[in-house]
Amino acid sequence: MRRAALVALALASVCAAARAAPPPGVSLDAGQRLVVGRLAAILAEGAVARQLESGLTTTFVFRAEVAGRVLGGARVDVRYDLWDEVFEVVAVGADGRGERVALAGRKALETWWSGLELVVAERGSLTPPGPRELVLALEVIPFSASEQDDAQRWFVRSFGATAARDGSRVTDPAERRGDSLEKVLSVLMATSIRGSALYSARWAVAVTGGR
Amino acid sequence: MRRLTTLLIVVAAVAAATLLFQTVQSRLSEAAFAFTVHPDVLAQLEASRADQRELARLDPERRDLYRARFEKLDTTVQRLTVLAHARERLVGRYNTILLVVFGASVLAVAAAIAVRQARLQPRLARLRDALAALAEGRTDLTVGVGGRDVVGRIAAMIEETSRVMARDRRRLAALQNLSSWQEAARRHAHEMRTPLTGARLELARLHDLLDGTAPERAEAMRQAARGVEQELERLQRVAAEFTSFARLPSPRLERLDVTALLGEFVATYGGAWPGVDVRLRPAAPAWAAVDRDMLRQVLVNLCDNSARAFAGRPGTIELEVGAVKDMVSVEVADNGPGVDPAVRDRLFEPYATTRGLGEGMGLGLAISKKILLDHGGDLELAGSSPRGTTFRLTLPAAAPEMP
Repeated sequence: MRRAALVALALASVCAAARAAPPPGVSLDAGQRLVVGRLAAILAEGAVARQLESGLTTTFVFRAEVAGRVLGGARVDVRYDLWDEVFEVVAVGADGRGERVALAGRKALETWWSGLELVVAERGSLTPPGPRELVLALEVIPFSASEQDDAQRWFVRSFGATAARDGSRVTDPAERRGDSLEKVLSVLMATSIRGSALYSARWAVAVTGGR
Repeated sequence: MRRLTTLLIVVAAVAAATLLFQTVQSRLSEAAFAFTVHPDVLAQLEASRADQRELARLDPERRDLYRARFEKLDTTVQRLTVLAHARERLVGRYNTILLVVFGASVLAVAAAIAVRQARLQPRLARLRDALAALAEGRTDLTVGVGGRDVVGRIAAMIEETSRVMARDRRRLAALQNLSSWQEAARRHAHEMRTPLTGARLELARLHDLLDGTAPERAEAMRQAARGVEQELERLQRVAAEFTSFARLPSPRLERLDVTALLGEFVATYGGAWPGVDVRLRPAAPAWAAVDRDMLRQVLVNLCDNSARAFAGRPGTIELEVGAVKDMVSVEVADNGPGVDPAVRDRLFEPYATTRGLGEGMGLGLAISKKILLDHGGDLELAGSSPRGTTFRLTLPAAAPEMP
């Protein structure tokens, strides 16, 4: 009784933490895999909607947890090609199967997204008579690791651009030491360029199906 | 208690400086980063990027060029967008780095000051002890504090002062000693002169009395009288030497180029000692306040001593002019057998001589020393070995004579 109350309290607090977006649906498919769907509302979130057409890769990371234990996760990368005006989307589920599509415009993306079903946990992760509730966590990262690396490298180069602008070789040891120090500083600075979640949410959801 | 207060003041000052630095720096860095990723900048770049696409549509033949430009602009926009996302972290890291650098600098300065203070304390203590010793009248001090900083310079000044004091004391003692000897010489000369005069008169009377004596006897007595006369003359010379030493006049100083003066001396007296080569080393003019005749007397005396030391063998005497601080120095060096160690310590005392009886009173060096001391300078034995002897004369330097 007491345990049930604690679980209820935890779920309530998780629900309170979730943003305005309505929770996605999570179900067990015929193969007893956890599948997440009904994700349409996420794209409508203000910060996410603004980010999608930035040209950077927006990454959606889903994670399914039960009592702090991670059952599995899935990822969707969305990048808008500004020249061709198409969304290049890569969705990878917990089963390792990926889907790569090019969608011409926002409307097509939303249509595709609303029908998206992602496997977030493999078969056997949540088997009866186990718990029928879980926490689905989502983090939206505004750029990919490669874009982050590229920006870091660019920052490091730009930091030392003054010394290297004329392309002349530096022969003075004191100047070389100065350059080394500059490089160390620029690397220290660049390592702080990391993507923090643009949007995050945690939903307590009841698992449907699979009985 | 006082140290604790000082420490607290230093800590408070460092904390205040750090706080002020952090406040100012964070404002500046935030502003700088905000400018770098300003929305207007991004908007302009995005517009340019869109323009390339439009240009490609209007001018399909140059599509590749516009595409390349588009890609370039796109990359820049993306990088700036990433920076804009990470702006807070970037600014935070920047401030942290600067704060660490500032803190390290402050600590380094504080450490340097602390180390300097720690090193300064014993040096100041040595300085204090040296000053106390100087105040007590001790001379020829060695402070033992090196360095070119203020403390080192003060230590050098203390050492120099103590050296000057020691030199002046030695000169004073020498002058007092010589004055006593002069007084004694004056009395001796006076005491000798009266009986000498009487003896001479009696001898003249003896010559008169001999006129009536038998020729053989008279001749023998005249010979004895000549012998007595010669001894009286020698005593007369001794008395004259005493008088000359006792009545040594004060120098009449004039501003002279010592190098030129020595040149004249070598030209005039260089050949006065057979078999002795007197040379002057080439040197720049050195002006000093000198009594020309007295300095010549000293040089003659020194050269005469050297020539005697050569004992008929050929030898060389070399004169060299130099300058040390506010003094002009003249070194007189010979290649003789050196000064007898038995008289070296009392070389400048009157009657200190290695010559036999009747070969001199041993007043020459005492007179020379007195002359140099009266000039405000000194005469010292700079070195003596079986390979030669060097005397050093010092004279107060004077400003060069204006043409």
